[in-house]
Amino acid sequence: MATLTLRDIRKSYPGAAAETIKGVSLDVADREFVVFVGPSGCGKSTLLRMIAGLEDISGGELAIDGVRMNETGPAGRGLAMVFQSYALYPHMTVRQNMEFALKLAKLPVVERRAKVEEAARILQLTDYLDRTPRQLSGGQRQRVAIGRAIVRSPKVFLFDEPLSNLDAALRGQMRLELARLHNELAATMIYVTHDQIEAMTLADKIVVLRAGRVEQLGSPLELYRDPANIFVAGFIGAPKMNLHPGRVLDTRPDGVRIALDSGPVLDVAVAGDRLAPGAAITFGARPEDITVAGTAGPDRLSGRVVVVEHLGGQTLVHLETDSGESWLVQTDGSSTIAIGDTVHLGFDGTVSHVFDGQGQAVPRLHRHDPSAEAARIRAVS
Amino acid sequence: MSASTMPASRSRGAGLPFLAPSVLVLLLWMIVPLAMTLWFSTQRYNLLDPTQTGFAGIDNYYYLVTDPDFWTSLVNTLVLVVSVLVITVGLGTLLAVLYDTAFPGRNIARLLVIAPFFVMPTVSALMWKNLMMHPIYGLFGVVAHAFGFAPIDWFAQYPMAAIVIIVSWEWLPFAVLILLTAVQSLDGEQKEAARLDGAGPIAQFVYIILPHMRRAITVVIMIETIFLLTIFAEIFVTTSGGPGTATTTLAYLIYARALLQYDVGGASAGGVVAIVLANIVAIFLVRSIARNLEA
Repeated sequence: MATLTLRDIRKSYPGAAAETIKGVSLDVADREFVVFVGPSGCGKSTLLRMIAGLEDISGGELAIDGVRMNETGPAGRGLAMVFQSYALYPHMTVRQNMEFALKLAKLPVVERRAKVEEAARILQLTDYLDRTPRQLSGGQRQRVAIGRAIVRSPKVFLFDEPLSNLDAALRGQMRLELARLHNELAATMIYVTHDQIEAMTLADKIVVLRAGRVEQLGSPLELYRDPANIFVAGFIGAPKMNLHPGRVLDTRPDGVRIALDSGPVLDVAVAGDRLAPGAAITFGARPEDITVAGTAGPDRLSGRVVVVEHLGGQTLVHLETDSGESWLVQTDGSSTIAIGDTVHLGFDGTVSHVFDGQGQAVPRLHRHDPSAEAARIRAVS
Repeated sequence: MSASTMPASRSRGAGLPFLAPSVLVLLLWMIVPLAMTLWFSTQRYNLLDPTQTGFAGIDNYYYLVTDPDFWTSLVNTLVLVVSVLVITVGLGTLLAVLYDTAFPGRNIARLLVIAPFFVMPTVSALMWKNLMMHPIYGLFGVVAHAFGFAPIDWFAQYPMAAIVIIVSWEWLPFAVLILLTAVQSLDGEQKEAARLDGAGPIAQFVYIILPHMRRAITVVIMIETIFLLTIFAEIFVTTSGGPGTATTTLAYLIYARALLQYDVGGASAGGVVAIVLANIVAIFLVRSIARNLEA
């Protein structure tokens, strides 16, 4: 059992005017896989290092299993960390690397050996135990770094961008292995990445950070379906959500009628009580929620195709409107749209997003809910 | 021969004329003095007595190895080289680790620790002799007086220790310089990983920092040994090899034979021994370096 509690955690460096971490509160449940995600410089690595004990905590409280840990050193917190550079000890063999912590803890040799061999079995490293790190490939080094964490049976595993040094193919493979490992070890894990695909695929809970603040916290699908603000909407999801300015025309109980600056008038199912007619808003629609319609119309957006990306199963169409806005639409793989074509886009008001003048999301009337999601999938297929 | 190796071998041949001048200069620089030393070492050749000439065979070598001063000088050389190596590498490693940590004024401190390296050997020897170790005017003497002790006459009472101190002071900066760059090249995440693994400062030093510095330490030992074998100015300026033969090293013995006793033949025999000695050291060190570089 390992739970982690962060209460208003702050970090400021001497001499720096602004705080690096501006009050983060978070509960990590036992066996939960939490991913910190955000652009570079958002403080996600600093936050992880503060949890690990490698950076001092300037304010707030960190508790592991309910015990305050602010003043405990890194070794005393019962955590294990996997570094971006792997940080393997180059002059030691794989076995020595993995048993280093156990040796320092003065564990008996027999016990050490058993733990290392068990970890090696889980990570398929048994044949490499007597090699040095430089004789291993990137993926194998990564596994040794994970093995070094596993042998200590830590309360919480910390990962600092562990896959960013691997090539794309290996990254996908290691991602699967991490997911498998999380299942097999039933461990609490905290994972830092700037890659929102890693965040979406691995996490039970995603924490989106920007400039030392939590922008939103929730399950991957919650964040995807109901982003709290423009930043999260743009950050989560690939290809990115289309975000373009507009104006409120009218508010009604079942939604809001808006006019995009580029022309079309749309009915969007969001709560209108916070919006006044005439207010400036940002309209958001995911590329996969937009359909290519046959004809133009008052609720359709027309644009010229600039780039077509055929991904096989799907096609990404980039368009430019007469007003100069860029839009991205995802269509099926057999699409025959070509560069230079003029296409008309249709929007689904029940899955579109509206953000107010401060960039905060206007609550949708059809919130993400798993059973409704399942019904929608059944209806489509 | 495969086609792909052709251009490489041809270009290697084509480079020869361009290499030749420097190779030629090096050969002359090395081979001529070596040949002359070997030749003189077999001659009866004393500058005070022009009538004494002719082939001496191995007599010069015989007189050398039967001279107790020669063995004393070998022991002195060994003591000097090993003591200075131990002090500079030991202290150098510690200082390198210390100077790697952040503290206010670090850059100035680093500059100060490097500074002795830029002082020429005769000057630093004179400084130590007259400003530091002189029993009457020297700083050590003054300090000893202040605390009520009798000042030590370093060059009379502990001549070898005094030389070792001076030479160590000169060579410590070199060791610190090389070892500091080695410490700085250590990946910070490795130290952090060790901290998470429960390694305290001492365990980190023993298991992470020291193994990382091994190659740099070998380099320091090799380069220092080659220079320390030829230490001369410091001895000449301070003790002149004395008292007696207490600080006569092989290099100083050769000087004394050639330019104090004018025995060129005997000095040349000593020179040949020095060459053999230096080469034995070099072979071992080059081999250990090569092994380290492969690993």
